[in-house]
Amino acid sequence: MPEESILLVEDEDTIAMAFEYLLKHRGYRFRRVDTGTLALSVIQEDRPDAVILDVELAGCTGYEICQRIRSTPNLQNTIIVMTTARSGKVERQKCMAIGADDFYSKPFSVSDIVNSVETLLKERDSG
Amino acid sequence: MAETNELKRWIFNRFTALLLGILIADGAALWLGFSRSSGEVNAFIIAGIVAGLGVTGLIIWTAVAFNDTLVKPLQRITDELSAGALTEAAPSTKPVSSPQLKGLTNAMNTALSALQTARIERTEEVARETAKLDRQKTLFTALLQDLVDGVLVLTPDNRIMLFNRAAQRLIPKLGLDRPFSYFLREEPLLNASKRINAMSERGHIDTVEFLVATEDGGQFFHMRARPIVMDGAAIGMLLIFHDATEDLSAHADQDHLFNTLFQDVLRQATAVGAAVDAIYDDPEMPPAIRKNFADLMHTNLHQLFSRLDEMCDLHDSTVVRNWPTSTVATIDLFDGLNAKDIARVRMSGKSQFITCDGFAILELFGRLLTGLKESGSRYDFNFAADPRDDQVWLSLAWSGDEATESDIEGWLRGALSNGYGAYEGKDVLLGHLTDLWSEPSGLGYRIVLPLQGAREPGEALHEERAEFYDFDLPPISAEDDMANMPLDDLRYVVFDTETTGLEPSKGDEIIQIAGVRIVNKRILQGDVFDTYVDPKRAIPAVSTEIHGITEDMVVGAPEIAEAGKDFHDFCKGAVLVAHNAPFDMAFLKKKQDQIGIDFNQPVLCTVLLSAALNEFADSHTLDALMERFGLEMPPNMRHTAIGDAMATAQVFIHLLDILKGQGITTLDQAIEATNRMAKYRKAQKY
Repeated sequence: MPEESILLVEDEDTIAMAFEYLLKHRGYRFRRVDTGTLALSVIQEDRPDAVILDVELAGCTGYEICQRIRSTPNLQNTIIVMTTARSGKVERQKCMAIGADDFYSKPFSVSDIVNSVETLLKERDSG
Repeated sequence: MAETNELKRWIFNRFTALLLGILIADGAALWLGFSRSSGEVNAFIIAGIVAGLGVTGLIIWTAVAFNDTLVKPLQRITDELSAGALTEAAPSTKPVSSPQLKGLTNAMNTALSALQTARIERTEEVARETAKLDRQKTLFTALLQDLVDGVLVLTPDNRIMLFNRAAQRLIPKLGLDRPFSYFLREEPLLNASKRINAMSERGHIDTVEFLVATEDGGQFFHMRARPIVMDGAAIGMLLIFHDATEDLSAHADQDHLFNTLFQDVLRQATAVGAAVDAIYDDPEMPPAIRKNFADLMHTNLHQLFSRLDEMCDLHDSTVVRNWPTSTVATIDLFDGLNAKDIARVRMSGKSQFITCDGFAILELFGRLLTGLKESGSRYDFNFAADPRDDQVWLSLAWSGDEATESDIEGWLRGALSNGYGAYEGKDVLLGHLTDLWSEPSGLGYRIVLPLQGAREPGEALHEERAEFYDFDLPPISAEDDMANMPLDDLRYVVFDTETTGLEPSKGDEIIQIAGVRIVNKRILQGDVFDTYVDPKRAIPAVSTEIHGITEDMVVGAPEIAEAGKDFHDFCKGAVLVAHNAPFDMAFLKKKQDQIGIDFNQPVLCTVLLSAALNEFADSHTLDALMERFGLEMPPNMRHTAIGDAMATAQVFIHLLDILKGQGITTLDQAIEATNRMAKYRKAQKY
């Protein structure tokens, strides 16, 4: 069973519950915050292995959090999967350009994202 | 000159008659005196002869003086007057050497000077008016050609006598003199005409709007029609239009969105809700049934997501359609950005073409540059445009501090410009379905803005040509009336074909057809037919050597049934003209059954016309005729169907002038002349 920690930055409770259930079920350590500002301090404090990051957040957008993680030397290996209610090619390009490892637009399947996080962590650990 | 000789002859005759009369009178007087005298005869005769000689001398002297003093100066005056009247020559400054005619000479010079002055004034007036007309024409053309909307002016019988570039872009095959119905369904126009007529009968003329579709119904145009009235009579119809297909399609898509997708979404959401309710209501639900519900929810949920994705796409495309965009060169954005004088910006890489609202994007970059520069910690700005698949990524790079997402958001907050009302920078990004971000680049950072790429606009369509209008279109006549119509008033399609060989009867086929229309003796270079034809057989290498068409080039081209029909449509109402027409017509006629239409238009052959007009010329080849008329063609165009058709068209226009000069003015007469020649040249080698 994996021991990695995953931080969910999501303000929608139902979605958060689903992630919590699935991630814990697969053996990950799980923590959730619902604002961007809180996310920044928790990331510094916890140094999670992966962050599932909603773009539309109060306080500080997911883009900015992603940029901060990527510009922080000791967080370079953190897996970032971004989610957004916006769709379109450019949204994906933007998320990938600023440092996300994967991107999902709403409506998305929670289990697809969990699978993606799992794969990315495996790749990171094997690489 | 003839008149002066006549005067000379008259004066000579009169002086000769006077001399003869005096000599006769002298002789008669001598005879009478001699018969009645009884004295010395010899002295009397001698006196008479001396008197006669003296008078003769005097008359000859007078005649010579008369000639020098009057006739010659009069002749010169006549010449001067003739020259002055018929040519633009200035009056002679050389004085006429006859004091007796000084008054007349002065009068002549005064008259000629006045004539000359009047001429100069007239020439200057014409030059002024011409310059004025040229200026108006240039302004008119520029105004018309740069209008975003399409403009058509129709004759009273609904033929096109003017169109602008936008109209040509919207209706690519547009051509002068073509009937409106050739491109678009005519009923809405006829209906609009009726409404306009009814309005004008009530005493006022207004614009009528209508929607018209192309023949295949694939495109719709929203048109505004207004009659052009002169001296109380309608001399044409002005149509201003734009493509409404997108608008209609957007409406249709939105209707579809609400009528179908919305229903589907409701259905799927209700299904998921029903399953959730069932599970929620019965915590003791047996696991097998619970699993069934879970499976159903999963399926419904995926269908719901799929529908929502479709809704997102449709919503996006509707948003984009509503934002006015055009093709913009990124170099223009760069120039615009520097013109704002915010900070010195360099540009790297090549300019690209993008689809956007150029002004809004420029304002956006202005905001960004202002924001970047304000901190004082960013410098060395560089603008670039990188093509990425169907996008172009515009970037503004700099050295110095990073710009965070919240920095950028702050810079784009607030109304973008007075011209955009409350629209903010973010709205421009949404309107272009895009976003921007900052990222590390080289030794510094850059802000990236992806935009939709665009193809390089074609060269300004036919800018050099003045054939967007012809206000003097000849009247149209039924095809069976063509025979007696003046040659100058007929429409012609001058065409050429390239083939696999020379013998249609032995299986040779057409591989290219090209034609160009002539209306009002003008070659309409924008109204061209040019297509390869798939011959469904091999093209011999020996033919390829002549015309350069290989089998690869005809792959995917229409077959003769389709190409022939399209060409027949193109030739509607026109006389067919070709160089060695019997050859090309033999190929077309052989394919009539396959095409399903007969090529029974009148045909003129420039070889036979040339032979009929210049029977003794050594050669009537296209090259020989072009040389005779001083025409030139780029070498790479020769033996291409369109090149040869254009060359033949130029030759034909010269032949039309010669035909007219030789009194051959109608189509019937021209055909008769060529038929006569054909009999003599049955074995003609072209």
